[in-house]
Amino acid sequence: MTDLADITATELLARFAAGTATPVEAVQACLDRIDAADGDLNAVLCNLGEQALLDAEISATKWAAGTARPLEGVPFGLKDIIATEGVKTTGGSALFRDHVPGTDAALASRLKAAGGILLAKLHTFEFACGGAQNLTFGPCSNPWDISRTTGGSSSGSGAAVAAGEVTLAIGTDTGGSIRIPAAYCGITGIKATYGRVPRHGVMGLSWTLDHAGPMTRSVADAALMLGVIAGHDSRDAYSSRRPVPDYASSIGAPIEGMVIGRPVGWYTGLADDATLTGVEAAVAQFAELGARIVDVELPDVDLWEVAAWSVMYPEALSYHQAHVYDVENRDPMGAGMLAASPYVHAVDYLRAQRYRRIAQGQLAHAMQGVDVLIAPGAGSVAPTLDAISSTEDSAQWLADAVRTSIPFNYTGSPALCMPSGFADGLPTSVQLVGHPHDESTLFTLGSAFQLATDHHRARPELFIAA
Amino acid sequence: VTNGITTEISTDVGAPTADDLRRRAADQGFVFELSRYAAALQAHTALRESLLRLRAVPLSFLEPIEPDSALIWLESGRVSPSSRTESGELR
Repeated sequence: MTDLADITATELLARFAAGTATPVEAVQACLDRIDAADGDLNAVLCNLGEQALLDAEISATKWAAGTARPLEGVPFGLKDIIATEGVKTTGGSALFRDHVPGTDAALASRLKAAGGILLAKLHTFEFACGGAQNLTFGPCSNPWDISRTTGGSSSGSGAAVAAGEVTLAIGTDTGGSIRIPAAYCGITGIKATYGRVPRHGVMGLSWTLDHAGPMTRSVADAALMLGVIAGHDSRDAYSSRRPVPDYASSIGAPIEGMVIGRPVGWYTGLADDATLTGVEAAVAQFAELGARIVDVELPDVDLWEVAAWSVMYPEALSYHQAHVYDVENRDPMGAGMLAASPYVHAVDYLRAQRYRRIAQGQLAHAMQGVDVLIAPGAGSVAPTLDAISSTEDSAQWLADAVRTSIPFNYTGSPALCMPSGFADGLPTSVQLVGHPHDESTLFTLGSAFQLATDHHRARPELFIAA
Repeated sequence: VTNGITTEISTDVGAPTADDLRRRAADQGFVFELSRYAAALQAHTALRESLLRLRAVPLSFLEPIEPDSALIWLESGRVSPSSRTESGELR
């Protein structure tokens, strides 16, 4: 029998419904996996197994009574910048090592209300920007090769989902922090449209670029999870008031006639050969499934990138102004970023904010007649932890790693990252970028890809049950 | 010059030095280790050519776009061509 720790949430729910597995068994399987693997990975900052097993017993009664909710009994983890009532939320930082919030983040309470079982608070780069070398909690390792980074900043979410420590996780993404660890760890992640998921209770990095979203083992799971956490919350000033579609209904829909735009001349210089090979294989797969592939141009995308940095530096400094005095005790990448932040002129920040609407117009123009764009999720496979340990190396890694992701934080577009294959045993990735509030089309195309391929079903060999 | 308003700004005033950054940080009450200024300079220098191009993009005065314009536009949304069924409903 397949280990319950390795299957998707969709499969787990089907087994609960059929009576062939129970939430207690699922939680225990994840706890066993944490025991077996986390000594190597360090993805779990706070193990909530005792309470999770109690919650799983309640879930079991709901399944028995026919009152199961959408995520009833499914174990999940939260990046540890997401507030949990009565449970430490450290931000991955010594400054918040003993911080215990008095209320749940909006998305955390929605996941619990949907029957999800919070199993663990997960490793994060310090304050979602500190880099792979976390001085307080140690580095988080990639399940595919523990000498390599998970990427970040949603490091623990990427590792824990890939390794079977939790079935679902939440990450956050300001410049690529859902998509990069999803890419490096071989899982699925979606940064939905800006405002789609309320950020109440989520430690901020840059309020006009920050997103929270699902990190999962399949597109179907991402649709399921997004449907639970999306929707307006008045405690997030930029939370969207648009109704939440039935994302699950977009899974498995036909893609014949859909149009995929391939931005020529943009990402080819930003990605290594293995990544580009993976993207081209995905393009061929989509074509075989009936999608039409067209070339499009993104003429000023390099300006979107510098504009995004012109936004992120001052907004991050504004959030962390009180932490600058102690910057030398912050983690290397974040310290370097914070120390590079005071130099964006106010007029440049405002120009970057105003130019954003122009960039959106450029993107909309490029996507006329096109359903989605295709690009790498990350430009390379996961580098080694040693290669990005210093302030200088980590800064260069950050600048390079976000180049295929940060443009869509800037435009606010939804973007789905999926595994596209493997290179030397490490996952490669592909990203689909959609029109605003059209996550459904991403899910339709992504699920068609995953129905036709098995990249997302691969599991790190080290942790496959005997 | 449009309607008497200069819309293209002269931006080539010279890149800052590490010492410029040190003074600008100090003006805001921040003091970093010296190596931080060199690292910051490197990060900003890598973006400078694009920043100068960004500064040269005309932004309308008479039909201004404001910082929240982008977020408001996002909220209006725009679905993809294939997201509607034949009857026009969202899929």
